[in-house]
This record gives sequence, structure tokens and C-alpha cells, in this order.
Amino acid sequence: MQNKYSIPPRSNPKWKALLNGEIDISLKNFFFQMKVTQVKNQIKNGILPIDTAVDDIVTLCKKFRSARHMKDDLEAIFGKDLVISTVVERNSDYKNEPNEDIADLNKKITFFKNALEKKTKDLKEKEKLILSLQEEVVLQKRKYEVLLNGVDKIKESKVEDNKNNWSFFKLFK
Amino acid sequence: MENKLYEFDEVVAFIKQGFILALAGDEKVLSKLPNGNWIAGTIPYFINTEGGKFEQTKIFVNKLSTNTNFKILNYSDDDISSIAKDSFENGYSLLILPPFQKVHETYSLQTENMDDLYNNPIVGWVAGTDLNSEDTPKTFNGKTGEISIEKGVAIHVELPENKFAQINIINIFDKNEESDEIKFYHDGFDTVSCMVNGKDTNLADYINDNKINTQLPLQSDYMGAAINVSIKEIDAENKKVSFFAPIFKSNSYKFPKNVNDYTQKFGNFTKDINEDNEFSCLCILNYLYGELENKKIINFTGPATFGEIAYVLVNQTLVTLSIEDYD
Repeated sequence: MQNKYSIPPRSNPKWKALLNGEIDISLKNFFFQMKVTQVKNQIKNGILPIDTAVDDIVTLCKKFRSARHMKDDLEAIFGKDLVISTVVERNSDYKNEPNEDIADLNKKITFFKNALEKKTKDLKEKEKLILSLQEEVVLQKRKYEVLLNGVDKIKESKVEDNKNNWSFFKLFK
Repeated sequence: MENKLYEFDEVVAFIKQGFILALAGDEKVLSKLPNGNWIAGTIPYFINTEGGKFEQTKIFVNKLSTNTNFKILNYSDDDISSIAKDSFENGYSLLILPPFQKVHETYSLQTENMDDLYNNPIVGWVAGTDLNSEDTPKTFNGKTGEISIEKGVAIHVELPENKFAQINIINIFDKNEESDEIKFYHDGFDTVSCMVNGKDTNLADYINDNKINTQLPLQSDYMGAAINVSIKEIDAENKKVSFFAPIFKSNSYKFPKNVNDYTQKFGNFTKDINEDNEFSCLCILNYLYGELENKKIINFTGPATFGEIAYVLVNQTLVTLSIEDYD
């Protein structure tokens, strides 16, 4: 459980300040140094909207959060108070912030619904899509429980998930 | 398996055992290898376990992570910009490029704006030859048997969910804050004019007039990372300077401080690195200018190459790729 910390959310204004050059800082992690440089140039040249750049860089910081010096760099930008220790078991358990997870999930549900409408005649495809969505919901549910209740709760929820009869998906069947 | 030079027969045995390998060696030996799970580039200069070595019969072997998926692909200038998109969701790509071919130029210029470049590490090197020969650098796709002068070759390796790959670079050239600031009017591998401290200047004249050591690279600051571009040639007649990697108009450059003892300077950094890196390489210019033949660098072995890839093309740099566990 060493070196656990949360990545500041996309809404934190310091992300934009970093990418538009208001925060001028020397970083230590090689990936972060190179990525921020690329993105800053693209924003300056009008190639990349800053909101897209923030989304992109936050996602990648989450992916490489265990890389050497990444935590030091984020602390240097956001301050130690914002890089809070948390409880996370695996990489896949902590991909997004809670609100972003909800937005992602809603997007996926819309996608699946649209896909189902187009493919109502193809029952096998329909079944496959439903299964994918079920898996996604289980994953998202576990993430919320980790964030809200800690690691112990997630273990309990795995048992509950297996018992779930997925009445929600009967709507599609 | 240790990353070092091996006898030809040993390498054949590794291939037959199905290992996934990144190889470096002379064309004459590489071309005799059987097909298998390997990529290679030509180069006869190495830092081996016993020190710097010019070697044309043995082959340098990096055994890559083998317990997951991988794919080997060739790239031309038409499709090199898709290399990042070809990588796995979690993994890395090891790329070998032929020098001064279209694919080399396209990759190194397009990385400035390449989508997804930083989604996974892209590491690698530029193939070369014996500097005293007329040989042509080549890349090898061990899967298909294709040997190419013009195409790059890459192996995309997938990593399990609990692991990730990271690139680190070692740059022994300290920044010199007192150096003049140099900016360019265009992106490219050569230039006539530039701006020195905001004033239009001919770069060849500037280097000559200021007696600048041309073994020093131009250095640009990427948010704290010093990225080197080495001088290839100064054409005195046309007053044109050419480089081993591209210069970019969006960057500012400075010449760094001189380095007296390359081995000691590298050792100051490499003493703290893990010698079981997945892959590492070093620039041929460090090998030559630092007179590294028969000299050992602590915790480091690898080919001495005509350019290094650490996402972007860099020069006079030591590059490592390590596989780490998520906390």
C-alpha cells in the first residue's frame, strides 16, 4: 500500500494553468516532461483545445501514476494536500473520478442502447452487447464502493454481484 | 537471460526456443539467423559486460517480456505515424529505424504532433554500420524474414494489468545557462540561418566564430528534460549545418557545458539504475567522443547506435526501458 495517491480531477484549474504555461515548473518524470511539452506546443499552435488536452493528460497520469517521480511532480504542481493517500487495490479499480465514471457509464449505456436498436434482429449480437454492459456495470459499481467504503467493502460486493439477477437488463431482452 | 553479446549459435538456440528477442549486430551474422520472434538492426558497436566493444561476429541480445502478446510490424513513411495506435492498451513498442531514410525523417518530425505518442512508451534506436565501411544500415523482421534498407521494424509488446513500462534517459551534458539562446525558423535536419539571442545569424559562422566544440549537442529543455540534437556536419562552402535529429522552430536551444570524462559521468547516473532493464542503448557519438572502447559503464549494456528513440528521436543520450509493477 505504498505510494498510493489520487490524481487531481480534471476540474482542478491547475491542470489548465500547467498546460497554458501559467505554471512554469521543471518536472522529473520523463513521460510527464515530454507529454506536457507536446501538449503545450499544440495548444499554443491552436492544434489542440485545452479541455481535450486536460482530459488526455489526466487519463495518462492515472495510467502512469506509479512511474518514477510522478507523485513528486504532481505534488509540486498541486501541493501535498491535493495528492491524498487512498486505498486502491489494482490499476483497473481506479481509472476515473466518481463523477467522470458516471458520465462514462452513461455514454456507454447510450451507445449500447443505440447499438441494440440497430441490431434487434441479431439476437446473438444483442446478447453479447448486454453481457458487455453487465460487466461494465459490475466494474463501475466496484469502483464506487472502493472510493466510498474502502477495500473491505469491495470484497463483500463481489459476493453480492454474483447473486444479482440483473433485472435492469431484462428490459432489453 | 543477461542483456549482452552472445555467440551466433547461442542466439539461434534462443530463437528456436521461441524467445521474443530484440537483436543488434552485423548484417553478415543477422542475415543467417532463422525466422522467429525477433527484430534486429545492424550495428557493430556495443557496450558489453566487459566494456565498449567493436564486434562483428557476436549478436547483442535483449530478451523481452514473454508471457503476453506481441506483434512485429514493418513501417514505411506512409504508415509510421500509426505506430502508437498499433500498440497494445498496456505495453510498449520497440522501434528500429534505418538512418536518413524517409521513414526516419517522417517519424522524427511527426512526433511533435503525433496522436497517442505517449499512451505507451516507444523506445528504440537507429541502425548503423562500421564507420569505416561502405555497408548500408538495415532492419530485420525475424517473423517474415524481411531485410530492409528503407523500412523501420517494431515489436509491440503487451504487458499484464499489474505492470507498466517506463522510459528513462540519461543525459550527461549539463545545461549551460550562460549560453546564447538559439531559435530556428523551420523544422528539419539542417539549417543555414537561425536567431541567436533574437538576432538573425548564420549558424555555421556562429559556431566557427565562437569556437564552439562541435562534439557538443544543441540542447532543448522539455519541462526539465534536456533533449539533445547532435551536429552531423558543417558545410563550410554553403555555410549549412546538418544534424542527426531534427531541430524544431517551437524550441529554444543552447549549447551545454563540456564533458571531460564520459565514463565517470555516465557512472554517476547509472549506478542507481537497475541493470535488468528490458532494453537500453547509447549513442555512437558518446562511444566515439567519450572513447568508450574497452571502458565499462556501471549497470549498463547495449548497442551504441546512430540515434536513440525515447518517444522522440534523441542524440548523445543513454536510453533505458524498464518494466515496473503498479504499487
